[in-house]
Amino acid sequence: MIELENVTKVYRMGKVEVNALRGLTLSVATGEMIAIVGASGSGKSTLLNVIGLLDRPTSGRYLFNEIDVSQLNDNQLAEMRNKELGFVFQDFNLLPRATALANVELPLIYSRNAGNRRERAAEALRWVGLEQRAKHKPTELSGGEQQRVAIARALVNNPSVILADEPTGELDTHSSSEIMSIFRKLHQEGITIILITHEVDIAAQAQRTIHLQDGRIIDR
Amino acid sequence: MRFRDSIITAIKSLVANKLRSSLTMLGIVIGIAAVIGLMSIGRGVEASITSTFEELGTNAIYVIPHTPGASGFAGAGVTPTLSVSDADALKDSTYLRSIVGVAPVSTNYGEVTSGNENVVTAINGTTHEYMEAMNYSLASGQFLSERNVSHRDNVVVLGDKVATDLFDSDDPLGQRVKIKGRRFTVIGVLEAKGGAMMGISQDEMALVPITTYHSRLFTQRVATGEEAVSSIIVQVASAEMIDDTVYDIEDILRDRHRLAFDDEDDFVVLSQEQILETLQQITGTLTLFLGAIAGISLLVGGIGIMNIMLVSVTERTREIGVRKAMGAKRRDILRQFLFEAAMISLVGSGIGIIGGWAMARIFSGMNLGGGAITAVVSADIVILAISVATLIGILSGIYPALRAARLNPIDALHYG
Ligand SMILES: Nc1ncnc2c1ncn2[C@@H]1O[C@H](COP(=O)(O)OP(=O)(O)O)[C@@H](O)[C@H]1O
Ligand SMILES: [Mg+2]
Repeated sequence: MIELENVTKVYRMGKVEVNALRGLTLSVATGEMIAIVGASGSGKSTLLNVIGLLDRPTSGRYLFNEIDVSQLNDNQLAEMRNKELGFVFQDFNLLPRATALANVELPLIYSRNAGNRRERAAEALRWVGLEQRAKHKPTELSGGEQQRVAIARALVNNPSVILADEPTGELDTHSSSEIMSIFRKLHQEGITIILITHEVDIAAQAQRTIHLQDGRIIDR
Repeated sequence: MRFRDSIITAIKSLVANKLRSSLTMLGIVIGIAAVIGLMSIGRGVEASITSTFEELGTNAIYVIPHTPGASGFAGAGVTPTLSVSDADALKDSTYLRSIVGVAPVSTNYGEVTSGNENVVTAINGTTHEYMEAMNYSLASGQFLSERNVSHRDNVVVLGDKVATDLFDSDDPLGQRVKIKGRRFTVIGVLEAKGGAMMGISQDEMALVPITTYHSRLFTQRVATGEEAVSSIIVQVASAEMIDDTVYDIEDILRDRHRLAFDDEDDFVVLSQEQILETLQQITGTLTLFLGAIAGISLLVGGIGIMNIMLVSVTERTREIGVRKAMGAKRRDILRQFLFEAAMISLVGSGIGIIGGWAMARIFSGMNLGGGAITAVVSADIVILAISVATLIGILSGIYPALRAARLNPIDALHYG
């Protein structure tokens, strides 16, 4: 499903070059649940952004569903993100002025397959157990609830992969375990899940853990 | 993204920022209201001047003194160069068959009193031919007669406003008034007309025989010692003859004034048409000038939109990042921000049109120096204003929208 071959990513900031990824090879099978761990600055987010088609690798090959994504233009990438990928961020990234329901609906307005938007968004909210909060704005929700809205938004368009960058990083233990049980449930539904985490017990819930150090995968 | 969704998204974000949206809109509202209001008023002034002039005898030619060397209207009427005998010469000229009437007019301001009432008004000395040349009509009594002129009678015909100011609802006919200490009998009252032309209102004048005017009221003389007139109104038999007659009058007067071949005229001969053209030129320029001032305020409104949109793009960088991560394409983001800008100017111009229309209504019926004007909000002005506003909205929205659309999703997501 996801195949990275010798992928590098170099950020250029003026004259300074930062090698965020230094030749990284990785393959993820459909339906896998993977945890990415590593020190801060080791390239975890960069890797996830590349996998999530938000950023292009500097060199190397990336096949998504057997498609060489380097051949796709920005519009095709956007379409692919919309159709195949769901994102969950550490700080939720909900639109502050929109209701929970409207936030969940967001991917659908950019989708070609956009029928029954309301119902589908409501259904996704129900799935994360927040149907009662549909009319609430993000500020009226707890951190855990906001992240559940974000997960509902990530799954509303039936993606094949959900990518999460430290999804429990800002949550208390109780909310964290709630979120993780939702991810496990998604995994059971057959969705491929790749999540970045700092916490050992969260990584332990994944089938496989990938350790990053200095832009490389290391064996433990 | 569907077109409808782009519009809904734009509306939602405008509604979410009500205060900011309405303040931004205000610039466009004021701009559009100013364009429509001011241009309508300009048009109104234009129309009222044109119509006042067109009511006058269409076949009239005006001869007025003119200081040689001065350009345009600047030298008009400054030095008295036309005399009563110039008018007589035009009347007597055998080869000017096209002329059917000649009315010399001498004008001054003076007090007309009746008992305790008094009015300061224009006092015109003229002849029986004046009424027809000016296309005036009487409300009551009769006009100055040829006999009144030849006998230097102390009779006066009053404008409507002068008559009511002096006599209220009493019948002025046969009453006595005093002008410069001399008694005059009111023999007629002109029909009320309202309005004015270059400050001369038919309602605010007193007409006396020109002979009486010169011998008993005001002595104005030209350099040769003859009695001076302020203007000579010549009535021509038909419109086609006007151009030829203008040349003939110039010939006769140059000859009479003994002007050498290369001397400039010391008078101007203006046909109705020429006066109208000149006035329309002046008022047209006025309308354009007003429009330009209003246009500047529209431009300022547009800059306001651009400014706010730029702030809004920066403020919503993260939102843009999120939308892009969720699958928004460049053109989706571009459209969202463009629509926001366009919506601001569209709604703004809608309100502005109402404002401009109200402004035109308020000014309508006001007396601006001349007569009462009727400001007309015409479709072309409205269309012009809306197109300009939409153009400004799009132009001022396009740069911020492009900036938003070009944002890299990663940078946008991590902004702030
Ligand atoms: N947009 C960027 N521009 C420049 N350098 C960046 C950018 N994003 C990340 N980096 C650098 O790349 C390296 C990897 O960053 P990141 O992938 O965010 O690490 P992690 O998520 O593991 O903390 C870091 O040294 C970081 O400073
Ligand atoms: Mg990170």
